[in-house]
Amino acid sequence: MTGVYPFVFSKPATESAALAAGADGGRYIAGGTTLVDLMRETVERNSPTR
Amino acid sequence: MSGGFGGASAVGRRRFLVMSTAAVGLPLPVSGRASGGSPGLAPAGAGTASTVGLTVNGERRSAVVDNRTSLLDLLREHLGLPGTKKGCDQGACGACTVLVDGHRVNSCLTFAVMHEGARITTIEGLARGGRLHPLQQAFIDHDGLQCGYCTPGQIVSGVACIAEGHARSREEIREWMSGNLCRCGAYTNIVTAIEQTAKGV
Repeated sequence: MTGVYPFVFSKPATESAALAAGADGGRYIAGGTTLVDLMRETVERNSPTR
Repeated sequence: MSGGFGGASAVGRRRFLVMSTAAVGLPLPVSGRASGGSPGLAPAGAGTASTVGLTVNGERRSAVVDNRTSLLDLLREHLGLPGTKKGCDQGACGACTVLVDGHRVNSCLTFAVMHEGARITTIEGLARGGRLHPLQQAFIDHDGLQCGYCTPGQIVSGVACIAEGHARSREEIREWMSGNLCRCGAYTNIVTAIEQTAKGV
């Protein structure tokens, strides 16, 4: 849990909700192989308020 | 420090060390905004923390964790299951391998909150009523370890490798176990242990 900025996590139940979440500044995570590593190094940085 | 080292065996090594240090409460970073999607929110607006419930080794478990908590840290630090090891915390070594709904997963690279409702199997969940899993016994019989640090990940990964049908030859085992590294170099015997277990020997 080094570096990673706090984030809000959601699991949208519908395609439209998923698209809305992504359009609203969210990022999609699947296996996490790239995203988690980059978040830990703060290369990927979410806005501190979300 | 109260108790002295004689208390360690009674309470367990980890708990003794925690009790012996001046531990302070663990603050969870909490955003001021309420969140739309996190499960199990407390009314205090804990948008960046969630309650996650899953089945671990057949037992229903639940914890409130910061969303950033990896599945590995959930198991080791919150659920009292330190058998799964943190080797690299980068998804490169496989020491953190657990089974999520039967699939091999590097638990260091996935967030605990992503697995609400999942069935998790760790190294602690392989033995049945005090009897070792055949692969665990095979690792002993074929000397498939030296320092043992990669071993929980090797065994959990090996169990799934066999179940996947990817242990039909030594070459196939090497290929499908290539995500589990061993710095001691016990690979030859690791492959033998998996090979023999797959054959039902």
